[in-house]
Amino acid sequence: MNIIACVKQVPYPDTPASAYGVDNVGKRITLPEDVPLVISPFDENAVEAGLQLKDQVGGRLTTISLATRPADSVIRDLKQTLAMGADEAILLDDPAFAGGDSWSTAHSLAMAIRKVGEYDLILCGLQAADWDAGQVGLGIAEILGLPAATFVTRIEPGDGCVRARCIIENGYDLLELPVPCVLTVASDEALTPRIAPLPGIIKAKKRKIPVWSASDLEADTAVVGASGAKTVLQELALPEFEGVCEFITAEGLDQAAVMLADRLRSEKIL
Amino acid sequence: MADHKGVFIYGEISEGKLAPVTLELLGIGRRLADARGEECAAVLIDRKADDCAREAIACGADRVYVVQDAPTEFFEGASFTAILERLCTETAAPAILLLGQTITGRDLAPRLAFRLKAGLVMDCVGLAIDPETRNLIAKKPVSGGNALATYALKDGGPQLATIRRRAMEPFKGDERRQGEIVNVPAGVDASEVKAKRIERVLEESEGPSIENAEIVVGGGRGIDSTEEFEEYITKGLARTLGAGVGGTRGAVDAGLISEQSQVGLTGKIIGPNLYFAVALSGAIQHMAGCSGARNIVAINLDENAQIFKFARFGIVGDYRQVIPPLIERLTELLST
Ligand SMILES: Cc1cc2nc3c(=O)[nH]c(=O)nc-3n(C[C@H](O)[C@H](O)[C@H](O)COP(=O)(O)OP(=O)(O)OC[C@H]3O[C@@H](n4cnc5c(N)ncnc54)[C@H](O)[C@@H]3O)c2cc1C
Ligand SMILES: Nc1ncnc2c1ncn2[C@@H]1O[C@H](COP(=O)(O)O)[C@@H](O)[C@H]1O
Repeated sequence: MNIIACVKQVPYPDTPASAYGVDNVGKRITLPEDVPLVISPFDENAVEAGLQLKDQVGGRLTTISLATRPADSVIRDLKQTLAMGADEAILLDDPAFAGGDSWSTAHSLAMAIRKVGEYDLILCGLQAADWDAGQVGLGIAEILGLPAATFVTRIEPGDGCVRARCIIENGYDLLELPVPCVLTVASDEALTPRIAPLPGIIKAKKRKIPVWSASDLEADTAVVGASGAKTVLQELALPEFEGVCEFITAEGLDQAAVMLADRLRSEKIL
Repeated sequence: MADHKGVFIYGEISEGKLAPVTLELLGIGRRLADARGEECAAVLIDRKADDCAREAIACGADRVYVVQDAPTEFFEGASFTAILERLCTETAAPAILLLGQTITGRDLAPRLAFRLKAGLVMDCVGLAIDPETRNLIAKKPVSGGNALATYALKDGGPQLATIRRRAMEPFKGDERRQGEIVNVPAGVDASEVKAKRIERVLEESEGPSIENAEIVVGGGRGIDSTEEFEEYITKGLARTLGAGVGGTRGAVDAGLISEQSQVGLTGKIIGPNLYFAVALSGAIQHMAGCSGARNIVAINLDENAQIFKFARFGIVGDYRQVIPPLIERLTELLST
């Protein structure tokens, strides 16, 4: 099975709220320099899902990232996917891609996928942890005219098809989709990303990552980057976290627990 | 843009009634339509949509498009996209199309936006009409909720948004409101269905559903095992309070709870009067689901845990030591 996983680099999502700032001139979120850049969590789940399928039925896994940050740091993360077991990694990098939204990003990625050519399955994250847009995977499916499923947490290979477990409000659906198709992946215990083995890391270090520009994709400049965008970021703000916590303390936790219950009663919360 | 007119909302039906998010969609849809001086129409694709069409009018719609012959009984992304594409191009040409940030909306909105070549902002907590351009302005949390971004949608075709549960006011229902119910054929056959449903598995959960519960007890990764989760949370604090049981993605990933119980950005949005947050750190992506909670009580070993920034009351300590005496006292209080 030939699988393509789209991975985006984002600032470490568990960064404490106090580290965030906004720059309304540059229209960007600011973070201290020591906040690491990592593969967006659901994209790591997507890579893991791809590797598990490869382990089961063989085939190739290619990872693709469209750089929204300096190329060398994105290349480091693409090499991590190689170290985990991906066969090939491709970087899309071109000033023409800058300022894109979900619409233009999906177009660029779809054209890169077309250029890769052979694929049975395209995996994306449900949403990327920076802008939480949640659109690109289904966008790629629409552009390439492929069947798709959303909120997938398990994938099983079939004959000319895949079976996907998709979360619904009160349970899950098991869906069968013909290949090629697109699945957007969320996290699951079973999709915990594997740790890259040391030999894999060493081998990946030496690999050269191909870099494709907009002209390599034969992309229409009207649909990539800022010119293709259908939304314009106007303003950024930081949310206000109100509330002062009243810590209940006492001699022992037993006593504190009793006081808490009493407070909830006296405040008419219970 | 000139020939695109009116606001469409995609309504969802749950247990034979308009789902809560649909009432919120009608509320904001009505306000946006009034701001543009245009109509607000609801689209209901459901075998039982007939029963809900009147309710949609009472709750703000001027017109309801009812589609009862979709090729599948339950939502299916590809065919529902095709039905809505027809509605938005052949039957009418809405300027704005709103959906809920639900499991369905998350699947349907992006497909439809790309099909219609339209801009889309997902998970909005605020929507307005720009008085100059008459375009949609959409505000949404980004970076898990660490920042808020405001987007303007560009001209040229319909503009789409999904709305977050509990972020917008429903319209005050008025039984006397007049409106038109229009039956529309799906115009889409079984060949448009791309995903075949093999099985649907529903989770049975103890206690009330977390989305509607007045009290919710949420557990995090700090809870040691499934056995302890059951002992202290499900059969412990939650049962004592008759509360719904939820938790973090940390708890889901650790196998403590099912995905259906996850609260947060990629889980359920809850609005209880009281939320007990036990052994969870208060990650912003989790708190995104608790915005409607009026009172948060946190129990955490770490006095610096971020959850205390959101909590009204907190105890620093091990849940194993706090919960049993808490249950004992609560039982006493609740029996009086
Ligand atoms: C795109 C994206 C979407 C996400 N969506 C969601 C979502 O919808 N919902 C969600 O919850 N998360 C979501 N997350 C994950 C989120 O960022 C956090 O990783 C997660 O919420 C952490 O779960 P936790 O608090 O259970 O675990 P941790 O952060 O590991 O916290 C465990 C806590 O337990 C405490 N503890 C440990 N032992 C004890 C004890 N004995 N007694 C008392 N306290 C104890 C610790 O002090 C700690 O504070 C998302 C992340 C991303 C990137
Ligand atoms: N710049 C990018 N490079 C590679 N993949 C991306 C990029 N942007 C989005 N994706 C993929 O699309 C998914 C959804 O992203 P989004 O719609 O931006 O939330 C991500 O989880 C990735 O799998």
